Amino acid sequence: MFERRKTIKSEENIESTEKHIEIESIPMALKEGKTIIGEHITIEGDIRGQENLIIEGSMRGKIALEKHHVMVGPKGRFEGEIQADNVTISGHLIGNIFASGKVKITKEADFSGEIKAKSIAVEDGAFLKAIIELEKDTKKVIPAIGKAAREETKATITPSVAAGRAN
Amino acid sequence: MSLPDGERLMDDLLSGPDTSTHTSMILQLFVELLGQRKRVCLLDLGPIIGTNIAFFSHRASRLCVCDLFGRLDQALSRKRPLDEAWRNLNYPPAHFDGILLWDFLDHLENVWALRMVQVMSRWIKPEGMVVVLSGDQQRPQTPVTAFGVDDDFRLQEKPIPRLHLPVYPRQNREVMALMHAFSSIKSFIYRNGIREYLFRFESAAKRSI
Repeated sequence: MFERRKTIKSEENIESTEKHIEIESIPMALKEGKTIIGEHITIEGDIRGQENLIIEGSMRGKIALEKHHVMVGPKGRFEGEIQADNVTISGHLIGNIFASGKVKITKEADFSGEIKAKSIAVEDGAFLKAIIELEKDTKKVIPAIGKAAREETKATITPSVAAGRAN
Repeated sequence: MSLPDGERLMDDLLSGPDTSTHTSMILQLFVELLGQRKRVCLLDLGPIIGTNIAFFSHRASRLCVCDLFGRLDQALSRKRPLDEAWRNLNYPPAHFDGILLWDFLDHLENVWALRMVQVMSRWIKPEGMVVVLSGDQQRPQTPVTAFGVDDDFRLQEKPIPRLHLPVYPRQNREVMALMHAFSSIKSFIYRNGIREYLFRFESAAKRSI
């Protein structure tokens, strides 16, 4: 089986400065298709279209792939705005993410910016300075203070008691 | 001469079985009180723990996360002034309904801890709350541990070996003194020696009374 795969490659150290890389011509039916921005590619500009995207190189600009998955790989660097269905960050990203689905941030990631999404999963140890806003589609029931929890605590210390013991 | 009740209870407690998890009464209270506010904006200053982000992002309209522990570790390793960890955080004044400071103060000497508290009092809204934890005084935590919360409010200690932070164990009165700009709502001590505090930032008008 052939895998639909479109890779933007170039010689090392050659910078691409195309302002708009149009990939709208990719048929919707090719859901497995993906574009890879290779490790030695630098792009400044916007990308929009109908295909999944993997960034292993560097990019500054805006990505609008509302129904698709965008991934910034472990060596990838991105600065700007991503609009996608799902987003996975393993590399370096400064900017904003707007996802109609899930945002996943792995432990290798270095992210600084704002995330608006339906859900989020973050691995322990990721470097993150973020503002997170999740779409509130269901009301979560917040458990009240329960008896079982209360049993576990042996004592409540008021400031005066605490001060008394410390002295 | 018999001990006052509070002291006797705490002595029993310290000789109890050791556990690495406990159900956090303070987080339950914190969430309960936040539930009375609209469009809650939270700041989590702890190490990045996935379960914490999942937990609080579902309970707040807006969750800001910034790992002060990692930033402090960087400042220490570069031999920079420790306030470099928070100096460039440009959160607007009176912005947060709640701040999760965790046990960050345990890793700062008094002079830096007081500065941190001062900065926090700028970020927090009047009547906003701060969650502070403090480790077991008898058993300073090495390596540094983070606390991960699950949906049942159970806090699990998670060692973070990559962080090399000093520990300054404090007695309760010293923690209270550091948080002088805040009033104490409630505090608990657990079998594992962890102490939890919930503080409220009083409005300027109330503080002047």
